[in-house]
Amino acid sequence: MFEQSDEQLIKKALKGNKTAWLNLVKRYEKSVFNYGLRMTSNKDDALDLMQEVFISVHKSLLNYSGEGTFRAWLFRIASFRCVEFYRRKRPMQELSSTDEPVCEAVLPESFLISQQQNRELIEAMQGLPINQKAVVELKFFGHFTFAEIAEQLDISTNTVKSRLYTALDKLKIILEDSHASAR
Amino acid sequence: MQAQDKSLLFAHWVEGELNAEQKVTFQRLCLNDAEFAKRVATYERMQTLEQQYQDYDVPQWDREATMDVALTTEKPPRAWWKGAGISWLSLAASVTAICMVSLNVQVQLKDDGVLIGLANRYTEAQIAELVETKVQDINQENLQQLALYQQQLQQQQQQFSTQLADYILSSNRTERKEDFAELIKYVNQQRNDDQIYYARQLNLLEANLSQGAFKE
Repeated sequence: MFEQSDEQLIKKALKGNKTAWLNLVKRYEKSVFNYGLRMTSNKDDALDLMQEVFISVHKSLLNYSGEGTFRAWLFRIASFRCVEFYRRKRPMQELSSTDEPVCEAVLPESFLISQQQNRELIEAMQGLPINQKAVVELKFFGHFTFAEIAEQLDISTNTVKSRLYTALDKLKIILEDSHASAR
Repeated sequence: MQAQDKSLLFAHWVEGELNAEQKVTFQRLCLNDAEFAKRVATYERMQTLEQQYQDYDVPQWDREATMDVALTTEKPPRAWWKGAGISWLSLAASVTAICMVSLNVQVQLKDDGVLIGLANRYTEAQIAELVETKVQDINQENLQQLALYQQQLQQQQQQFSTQLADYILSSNRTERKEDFAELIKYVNQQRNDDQIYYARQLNLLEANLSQGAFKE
């Protein structure tokens, strides 16, 4: 079946076509939801964040100029919404500091039990502060270049690199610990 | 190798931009630099975790709730000033304004109506001729004015000279009168003095004569 491009769906959505917008949401909801899961490690938070991201995208749809991919633009908005979400949840915590230890109840067993690797990854990412987590997320799951990440997060390329290296050093320790405890 | 160079090499590797020489250096670093090797290993481990990661299905949620009411509701008919006609009208007005400025259109309001014309109706030669005529007129006017001033000045000077001559003459006459009066006064005074002197001499003579008669 012929699949409409993002740009075609956006054009129709801007004219008030509900179906076009819903198709666009369905196309990206899984990516955004899983992004939210990895960033918040909580299903409900991920759902809330996803909803906020799509509300924000719909409101700003007129501002999408068509420069760069829609996916990159969507994740740029997702990054900003995520930081806002994080600030709202933890208003007293610095963006560069590490999250509180992950609560065991954040991911229900039924939701996660079958995927041990997913759990390992999500738990490892919770050991990173939000600004490093965002870089890791965009690099490994978004497959963006350093320059694209810098543009999305509104920081310099050098800062992106520096955050990735620091994050990798931390992840190395976390993954080693996790591996040791699994044995 | 410096930490900065290592970071740069690592960044090139991450982006898949290593050239042949850099690849050799990278492999050598992985063998000899434990810290660098661990960073590379962690990156590869994360890549593996990402590849093994199975996306979770999205639970049921209200997708329609994400739609901005302003974008989805039926748009009311546009007001006449927001329609396409107004933009064409503004474009036409802009073009007219540009033409008027570039052609230097001049609008003159007169008692019997409005006169619209182009400022560039004279050629350069005509303008030069007009300027020349104007300059000549001004010169002529200036010359006439100067001649009038000269004439007035001469008349004024003559008037002043006559007044001065009259004054000098009258003042000389008065002075001479006064001098004569002084002279007459002086002569009269001398004559008075002489008379007094002669009278006294006569008195003295009379006295001497009378004394001589007694003695005899």
